[in-house]
Amino acid sequence: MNLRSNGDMINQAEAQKIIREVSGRNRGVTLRTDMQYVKSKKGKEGLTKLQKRVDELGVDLKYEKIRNNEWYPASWRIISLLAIKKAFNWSDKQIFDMGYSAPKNSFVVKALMRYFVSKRKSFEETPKYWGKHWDIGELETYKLDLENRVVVLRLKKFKAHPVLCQFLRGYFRAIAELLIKEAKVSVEETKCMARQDPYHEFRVTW
Amino acid sequence: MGNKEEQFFAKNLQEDLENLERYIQEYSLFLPLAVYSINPVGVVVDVNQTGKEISGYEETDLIGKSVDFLFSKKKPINGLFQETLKKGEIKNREMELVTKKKKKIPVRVSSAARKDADNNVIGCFLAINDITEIKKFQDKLEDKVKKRTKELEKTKDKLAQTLEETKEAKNKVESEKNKTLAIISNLVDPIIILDQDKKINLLNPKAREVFNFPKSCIGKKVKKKDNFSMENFKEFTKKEYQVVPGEELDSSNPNEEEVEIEHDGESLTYKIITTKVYDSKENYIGTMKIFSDMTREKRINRLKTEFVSIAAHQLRTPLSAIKWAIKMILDGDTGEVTDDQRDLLKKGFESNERMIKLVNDMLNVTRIEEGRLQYNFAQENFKEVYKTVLGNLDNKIKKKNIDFDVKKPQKMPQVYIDKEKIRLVLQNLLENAVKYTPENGKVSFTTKKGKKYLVIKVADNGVGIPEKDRKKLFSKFFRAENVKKMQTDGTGLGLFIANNIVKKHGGEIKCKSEEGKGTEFSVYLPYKKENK
Repeated sequence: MNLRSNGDMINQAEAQKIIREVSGRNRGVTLRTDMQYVKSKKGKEGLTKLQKRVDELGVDLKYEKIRNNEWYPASWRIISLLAIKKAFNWSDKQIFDMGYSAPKNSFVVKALMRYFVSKRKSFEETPKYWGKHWDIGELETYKLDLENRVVVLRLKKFKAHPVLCQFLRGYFRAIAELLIKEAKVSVEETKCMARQDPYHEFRVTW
Repeated sequence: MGNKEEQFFAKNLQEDLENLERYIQEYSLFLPLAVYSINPVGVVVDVNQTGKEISGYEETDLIGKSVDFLFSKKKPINGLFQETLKKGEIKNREMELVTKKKKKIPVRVSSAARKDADNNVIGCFLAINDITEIKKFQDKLEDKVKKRTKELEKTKDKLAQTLEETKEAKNKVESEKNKTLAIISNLVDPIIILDQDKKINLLNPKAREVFNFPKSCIGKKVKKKDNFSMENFKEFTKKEYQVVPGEELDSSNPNEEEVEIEHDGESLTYKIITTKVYDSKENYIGTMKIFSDMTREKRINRLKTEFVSIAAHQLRTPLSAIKWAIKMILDGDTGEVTDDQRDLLKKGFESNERMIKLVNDMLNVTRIEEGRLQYNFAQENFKEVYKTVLGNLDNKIKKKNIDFDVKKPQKMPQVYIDKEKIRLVLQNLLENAVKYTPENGKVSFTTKKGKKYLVIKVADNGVGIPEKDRKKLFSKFFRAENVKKMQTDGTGLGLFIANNIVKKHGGEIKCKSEEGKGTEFSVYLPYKKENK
């Protein structure tokens, strides 16, 4: 699937195409995080609008019925983000902010975060988060240089949609901030499978 | 384990996890205490509902922030966090939380470390309790305590000041007391002070010296009731002295008396005024006897009286000789005199008569003062007494064309008098009346019988006596201001002599007068013997 060529456009055909091409599942908590974020920014009307947009796409995603720990098709996650972007005409920056907010709403993340005893240990354990939320792809802490304040995360075997890359950039930044207690954390996606790279690579510096 | 079984367990596990999450969320919503979960690096990773409410922040605003983000001072909270990681538990540290709206809330922070299964510290819980109300109460209480303390301090200061002032006042009083005591001690005249119980409180050195009072009489009571006369002090000393009673003054000054005493071979006379002493609140606190040494005055008076007596006696003989010489010339015993010569001689005779009267008055005064004026009391018919006096005045009355009125009872009573002395009294009063009444004026002489006294009134419509002069009317050599201006003659001794004579008879002279309208003298003479 040439996800990049499709851009952020989403319609029923595009949605069906994503459903067909994106395999794997992810936890309901990620979809509920989308829902809570929209609710916090656009209120109940915003959520209704989003639900309508998703319904128009012919996807059986019902936000209110999603359960945090249930597994749902990974394609719904991409469709959800694209539908949000379209419904509210949001930019990549706003999707980044969504990602940045997501770990703070995740019970799983919060539960896991409490058990990390050091920065190093925390970063080493970070890939576990991925496994708790997705059953496709592998997150690896490729480089951990606390002295020089650099962590490189690689997400492999995860060929999804670029909209998710924006989201993940925000998400990793939030995780990093929780671990290193530094306000000026920046996350760059240095490699992306949508650009034909063999994996996604996120460089976290602070 | 088969696939179905795995799915069954996974499903159950998932439900348990969801139930646990729900339970924690409900618990978090219910818990009225703000609880923050902090990870090992000091970052907020979770917050309950109360934690959001107390800070005013959303969960997403709080999570990821450093633990010190919420507090006005970073050091105490970071210190508490580090201590918690080391000690495991910290309780009730007071700090100040800053809300999203920048409101500062006093809070009490407790913390408990969390550990994983391997006993690694994995962060801590912070429990934050809003103590605004407690603080307000505390502040109020503190304010009250401060206020009360301030008041107490003020009271203390005032008390100290009062104490200081009292001390100063006490010193002042002490100093005044010492001064007064020093004055009293150094007084050249005696002074005796008694307390309100009539006990002798103070005798100054002079009093002890002159009267020979022993120290032991201090604190002893003067026995006689309501009488502070020196007679009552005789029991305290062996030294003899004579007390001459003086005039009774008033209730605050019980009496005035004189004491004659021998001291150092000298006869001393003291005039003593006894006065009651009151404090500033008018409470009676004692009695004081103040002595004035009158010895010198007495001596001078005696010398003066002696001199006057001698001078008057020496003058009487030549004055009598002059009188009879002029009389003989006027009577023509030495031949005819011309009218001009007669006028001159008459004037000389009258002046000589006045001189003789003055000398006689002065002799009478000296006799009165020396107590040598002899009285020959007898029951007399009063008519015989005044008739002569009126007869002697006849010429003067006629000369001034005075309307002279005499009123008397049908039967004149007998009175116990020295008729010569009473004649002198009547002569003085009537001569004054005629003298100070203008021509064509009115003088009346009335005799009236009273119950115990015969009342004789001499009234005129003459110049009268100014009010200010009336008190000194019976003093020696006194002459009222208005008569000094109009009459050159007059000795100022007549009323002094008259008053003394009437008193000696046990009677009294009273005077009513109005300046410019006239004067009325009333003489009260007892019918029976009532010598004083």
